[in-house]
Amino acid sequence: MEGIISQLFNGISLGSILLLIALGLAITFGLMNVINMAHGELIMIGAYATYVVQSLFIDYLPESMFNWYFILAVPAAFLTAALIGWLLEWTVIRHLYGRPLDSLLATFGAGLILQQAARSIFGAPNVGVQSPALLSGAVEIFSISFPKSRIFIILLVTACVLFMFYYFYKTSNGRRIRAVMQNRDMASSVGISTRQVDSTTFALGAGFAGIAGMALTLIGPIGPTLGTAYIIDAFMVVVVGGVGMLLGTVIAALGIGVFNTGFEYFTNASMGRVLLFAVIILFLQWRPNGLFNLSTRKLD
Amino acid sequence: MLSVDRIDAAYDESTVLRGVSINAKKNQVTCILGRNGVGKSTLIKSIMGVLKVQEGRLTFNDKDITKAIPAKRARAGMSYVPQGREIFSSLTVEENLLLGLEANQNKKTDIFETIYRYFPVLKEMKNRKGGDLSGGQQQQLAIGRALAAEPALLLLDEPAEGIQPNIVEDIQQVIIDLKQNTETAMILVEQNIEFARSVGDYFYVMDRGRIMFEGPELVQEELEQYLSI
Repeated sequence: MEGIISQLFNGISLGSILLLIALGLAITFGLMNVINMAHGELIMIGAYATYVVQSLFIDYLPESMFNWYFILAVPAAFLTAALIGWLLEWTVIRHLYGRPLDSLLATFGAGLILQQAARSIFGAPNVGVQSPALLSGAVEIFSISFPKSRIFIILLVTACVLFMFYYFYKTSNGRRIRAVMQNRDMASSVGISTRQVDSTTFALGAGFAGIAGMALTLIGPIGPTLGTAYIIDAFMVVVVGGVGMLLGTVIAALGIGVFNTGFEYFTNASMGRVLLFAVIILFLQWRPNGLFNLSTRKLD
Repeated sequence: MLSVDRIDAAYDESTVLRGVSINAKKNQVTCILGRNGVGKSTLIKSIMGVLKVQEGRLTFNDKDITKAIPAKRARAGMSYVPQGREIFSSLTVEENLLLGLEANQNKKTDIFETIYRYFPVLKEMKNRKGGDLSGGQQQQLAIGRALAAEPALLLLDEPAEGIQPNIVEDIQQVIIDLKQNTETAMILVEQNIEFARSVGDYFYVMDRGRIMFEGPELVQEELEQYLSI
């Protein structure tokens, strides 16, 4: 029983990280039909931004302040990744709308450049980010221990998802994004600047990847190829959830996280992956468009 | 206020408009008539900018808009009610109307009262998804959304197509009301001659991508030549 509960917790914690990564992908993929292979590198940028904030705290601030670096690291990771994402959209992606394969290759190339840039600046070996004392250790409930860092990640992701829902469904910017997602020509015809919607939405998705990178520093060491490990799983989440659907992404991320850790628990790491892929392939046979999809009723 | 000067436009490779020129004036309903597939919708899409023209010039309020994107034309005072309505079906009725305000200088929702007076059903359904509405209600929403922008030029692409007669009458009434109470110029693409005749001030008849006839009255012989099936 205890084993199952802690596995479930691990599953939710893995799922929540996947969710944070997939949120950004879901919007860019859903909104612009761009397969952004550099998304993993935006995660990496967020992680290194956290590393830089931490290093600055160690170098310039008294030790008693160190604990609080991670509070500042969240906006720092978001803004750095968002800025680089915005630049990426402006320099590369905007020229390739409507050409999914070209944009896939171009963003893959951009990803390699970003990886190499990280190597040049921070060195090839992994660096460790020291978890603040506040988040080390575990909380014990009924003799099951829950690591504090994982609890923090789940809370962080919950906050991000709530913000996303609010932004998407309650603000005028969100309304514009949804309109462009559904019918780009008509959105432009009512006077929405689709160019501006594209670039801000892309930056927003990149920013969330940055926050995911920040969360990953609490789990293990970080390196230039940090993001590549997660990108495949994140794409699986987007496809299973249904392209462009927030709610589908949330359910798919948590589902894949729980199934992944569950299968690994009952078999072993590689067998667990095989089973997970098998389940996803079967699921997509049953629902090729994912859990949810935008269905429209035009002429009837 | 709008002048379309010898434009050519095409989907992919096949040209469907050849040297089309039309004018629209303030406070007038300009009708474009013709059989299926003669290029009426293509013309209205070229005016809105959804489709780029290959030759010719478009001038709106003395400004050259030939190269402007649709959003820019919308903010300059054009509003578009496309064939097949193209409302945002996963957004609520009210959100659709709010999107109509995007192109309006005055961002206040006061104009909604006028729209709800024209189409009371939209007020009742304002929190429902656009996709839940019936075809006729969607058409009313598409017109409402266009009116929210308080446009100087309203483009209507077969607003009466496939809609029950009482809603067609409502739409007719709205067009007449706009003519009497505002300065709005309107371009109405129609196949329904009766509908066009009841509201139109000036008529163009199209055939195979060209304007074949124009004038303030519809001449019976011309009608028979280009409109009979």
